[in-house]
Amino acid sequence: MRHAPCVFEKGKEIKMRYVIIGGSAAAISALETIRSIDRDSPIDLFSDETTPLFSRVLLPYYIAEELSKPLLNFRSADFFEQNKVTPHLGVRIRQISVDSKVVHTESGDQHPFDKVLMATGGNPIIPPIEGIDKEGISPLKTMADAERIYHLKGKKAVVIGAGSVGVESCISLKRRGMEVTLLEQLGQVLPTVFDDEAAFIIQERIEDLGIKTVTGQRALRFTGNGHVKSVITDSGEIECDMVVLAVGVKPAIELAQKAGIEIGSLGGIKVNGQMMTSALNVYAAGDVAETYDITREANWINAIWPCAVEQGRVAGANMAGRETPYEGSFRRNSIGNFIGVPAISMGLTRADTCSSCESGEEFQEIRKRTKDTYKKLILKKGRLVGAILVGVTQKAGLFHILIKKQIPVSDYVPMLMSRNLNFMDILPLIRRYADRFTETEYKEIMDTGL
Amino acid sequence: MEFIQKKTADTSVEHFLSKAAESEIPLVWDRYEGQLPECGFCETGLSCRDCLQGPCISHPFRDSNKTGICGKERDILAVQSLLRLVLKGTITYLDRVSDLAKGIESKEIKPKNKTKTDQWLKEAQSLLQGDGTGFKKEFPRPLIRRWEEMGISPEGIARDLFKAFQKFEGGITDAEETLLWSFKSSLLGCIAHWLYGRLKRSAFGEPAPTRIEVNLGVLKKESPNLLLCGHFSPVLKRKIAEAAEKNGVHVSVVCSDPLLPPFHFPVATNYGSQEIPCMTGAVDLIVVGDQWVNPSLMRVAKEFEVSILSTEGLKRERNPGRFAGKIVDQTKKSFDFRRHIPRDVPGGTEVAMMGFSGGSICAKKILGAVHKGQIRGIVVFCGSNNVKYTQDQEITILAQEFLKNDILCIAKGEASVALAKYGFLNPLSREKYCGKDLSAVLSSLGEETPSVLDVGGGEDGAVIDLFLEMAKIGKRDLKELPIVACYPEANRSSEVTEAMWTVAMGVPTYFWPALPVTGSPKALEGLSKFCEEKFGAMLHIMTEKKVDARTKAKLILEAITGKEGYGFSGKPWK
Amino acid sequence: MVDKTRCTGCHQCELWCGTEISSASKELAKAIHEAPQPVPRVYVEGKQFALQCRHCENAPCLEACPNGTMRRDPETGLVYVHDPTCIACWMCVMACPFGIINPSSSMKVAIKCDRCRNMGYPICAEVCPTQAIRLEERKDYRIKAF
Repeated sequence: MRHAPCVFEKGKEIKMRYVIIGGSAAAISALETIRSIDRDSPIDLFSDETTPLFSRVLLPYYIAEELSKPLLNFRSADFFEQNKVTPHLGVRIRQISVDSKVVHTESGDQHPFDKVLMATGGNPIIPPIEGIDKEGISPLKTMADAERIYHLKGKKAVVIGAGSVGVESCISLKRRGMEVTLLEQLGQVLPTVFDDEAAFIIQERIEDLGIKTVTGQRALRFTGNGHVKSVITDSGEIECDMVVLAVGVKPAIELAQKAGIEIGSLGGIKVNGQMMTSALNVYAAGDVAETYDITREANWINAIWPCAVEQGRVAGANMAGRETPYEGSFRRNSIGNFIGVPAISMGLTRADTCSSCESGEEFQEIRKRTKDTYKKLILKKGRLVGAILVGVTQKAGLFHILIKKQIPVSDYVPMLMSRNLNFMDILPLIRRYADRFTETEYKEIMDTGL
Repeated sequence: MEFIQKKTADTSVEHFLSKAAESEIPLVWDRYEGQLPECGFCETGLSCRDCLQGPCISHPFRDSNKTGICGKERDILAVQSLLRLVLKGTITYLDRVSDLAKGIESKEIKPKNKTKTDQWLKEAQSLLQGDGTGFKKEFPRPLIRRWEEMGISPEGIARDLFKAFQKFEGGITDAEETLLWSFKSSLLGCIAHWLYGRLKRSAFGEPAPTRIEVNLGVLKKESPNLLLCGHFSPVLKRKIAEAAEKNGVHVSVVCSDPLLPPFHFPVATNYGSQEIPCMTGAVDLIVVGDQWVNPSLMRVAKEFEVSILSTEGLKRERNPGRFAGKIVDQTKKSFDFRRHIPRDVPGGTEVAMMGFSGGSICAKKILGAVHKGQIRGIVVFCGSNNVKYTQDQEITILAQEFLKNDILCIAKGEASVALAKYGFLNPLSREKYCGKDLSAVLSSLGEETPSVLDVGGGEDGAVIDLFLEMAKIGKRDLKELPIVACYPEANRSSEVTEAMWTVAMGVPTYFWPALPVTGSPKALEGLSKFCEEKFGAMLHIMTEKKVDARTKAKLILEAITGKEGYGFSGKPWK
Repeated sequence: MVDKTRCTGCHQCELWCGTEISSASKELAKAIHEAPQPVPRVYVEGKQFALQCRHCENAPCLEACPNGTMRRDPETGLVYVHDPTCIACWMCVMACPFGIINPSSSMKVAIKCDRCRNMGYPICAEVCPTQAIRLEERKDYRIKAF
């Protein structure tokens, strides 16, 4: 079942031309997977970022001056060379011609392809707020954004949007010595990541760090002459001299739209179980793709680093001729040590956030709150679809595998909620539902000697 | 893990190691290697098996199991590990004195000094049945007062033993208090040991420096050899000696007092190599007690068709005279039956002068020499053998280093035997080992004085008497004298108890291997800072495993001769 | 391989992994008192079984790490944490189905067994009193098994 070589035609090996649009998690993961199967075919990678191979997840650390640029990289400098990939950095793709199998760059160059991967990620949402174009206001997505924010000589910052990027940005700016206010439209911080209780704990911690949080307020407009001076909210005005926009990302689907590729109902590129789009030989992966969400049992866009890596891997494998089904994604976030209290969240955060649920009886929410910790499990039809861990993040991976394989756990709830949960406890479950694992996966788990 | 490269420093023992390997006779060294790695929790004292809810550990690297199920915290677990050893040790001393008292009560032997024997017998009985406070007259007032203030003055078995044992059963206490209980019971052991010595000496007579032969060569090729191993009643021993003499049976001892006036016995070897005499093929019968006897003797003896008779069986022969007769008879018969077995006795024995005590040591002269600076300090060697070290290596190197630096070395029991094998107790080697000044002092004590002074068979309490004598003559607290105790290879619980009471008397003690208290910082503090405060002496524990003997010697030398404000400055004191 | 019929749950593997690998002093008696507390990379929890990192062929932790801190040694195939670049984000903790990655807030890095890649032989296998832990080669579907 090992190395499936490249395409054979009449007994002769023909090289495939692979083109990858994008240079972040999904793109690199796909690239590595292709290379592990097909050692010789040319791979061309096009990225509009001039700085290659940096991790967007770590940009807040750069702003906080805790990581220098080289430490943002998730692959070494000679990565492209080692993998025999031709990188085209700072080159934007203007158009994909699906029928003629050619990509066109902005400068007019054309590159033919046999298989192409669209891993263009997402674009930060710029909300249509009056005054949004003043100086000192920036989203945080690209390296250019990070450098811009890094060099802003502000003293009072407002971060709009308390998602992961927003929370990490405000902490970074606080660490740089600024006075920071976090403004969030909804009633809690991290609304897509945590439920209200967990968010409350985290909000307290954020405030302990000296950051002012304002929830349930919208930003209505920015004031200032040329340079931003304040933000007007529903209930007041916040003085500031810099603003970071972190209200979310939208899949970057322009290329797909132009090429007539089908877009899903959520605004992402629709892909089948092998990560191929509606156009033959055109694949999509990462933040731009709409995939099946295991916990929601419906399509969703999970714009999360490990999901992008996973999807890239599957897309790459399929592109290189090894048929690999994608099991589906589910959201997972980890805040790590950044705030001071470790927090991890997977899948659904609330029973009611699932759009396809029929009745409430299918759901079970079990929560345990102590002075400094919070733990919640959400079960749907007896299977784990969500887990929130604040302060007790050890062994979080055990929940990951239970969610991923949708293993029925309703008889094991007390054990899962226990502080002493360990792998040996879930082993009988894995054994019982061995059919949900591939042979390799199962062997690897049992290989311990069990 | 630590695999000892060299098993023993004793060449006659080494001679038999390859033989044992070929014949597939497992010896103590093989079993030790098989046991490695030893449990780290027990080694550091962080385990407990006192009840059935356990066994519990205090895991140093995980938070879920730092405290025992019943609530015993890490420090308590460690100090109780020590208490367990101390209590076991105390009981060994009580057992000995009780055996001796019973033996003397039976009137099987005629006591040498009847009045004194009666007096000490009464004291011993008082200790065993009541609170035996007679010792208070003989021990220095300041010591007694110090112990009473701390609450650790011995009060008898009910209090010092039974009550101390209840610590394992539960109760609310702290590490320091539990440590004090350890000292309390050790002091009971001290009194028991001291009474034993007094009683034995009044019943059998005072030992005088005697010429004794040591090492395997003492076994005779042409006569029946009876080997006495371990401790058992001196009354029986005397009977055996009498019967053996009458019947031409040659008696040697292992791990047993070689001096029992009017008899003395050659010593075949020491604790670590006790399986080896059998391997010479020259042993015809072994008589064993319980203390100090390795159960493995059974296996080795069988290989060489040697019978073993225990003095401690449930159905043993109670009459010592009759028992002795039986033993000697059987030895003779065994000798005949075993003629077909080749006797490989390594030639050459070492000569040792043993039995310096009380009068013969002359504490006055020694203290005078210390005062004049001729002797820079005194080290008392105790302990036995521990398979974790190359047999006898540590003690011999330490002795060499001390002697050449004019430190007076005194030894007892197994430590004496170890040193004796290498000539340290041979007067002829005196010049070779000792520094000039020390040599002069030793020769002033008598022509036949060796480099190291043996004060008795380890059953005697002679060291205690020596301490008491020095304190009396020097008119000073023991803690102010430049004297330390050193256990280069400690092993048994009785040695742990002994070390504890030595510290309680004010004599700093250097102890290897590390006691099972190293897992608790409070326990370590207790044995160092706290002991320093209360007794003026520390129980020095070294946790590093691979320290060579010379480094240890240096450490002790510095402590004796160099420390300021400790009275050990080597300068003459008034 | 860990033979569960031989594991007595004695925790020696944890003890010596903590001492020889995680502690600074490398000596049990000193390691006990060290701060921060040494972190063993093998787990004996609940049942009598020792669990170390499996160094999976498709390691989820490798995929999850956002900045290349989790690496695979090209020669040995072992997965290890490159401490200097670890930002303690715990994505790997979230990914490992065995739960053997320790999110250590005291050491501020993710801590994981690296099969003693800088020693000669895994310590846990060396000290196991019943030899329940053994290093074995498996030829069926992976190169080397633990």
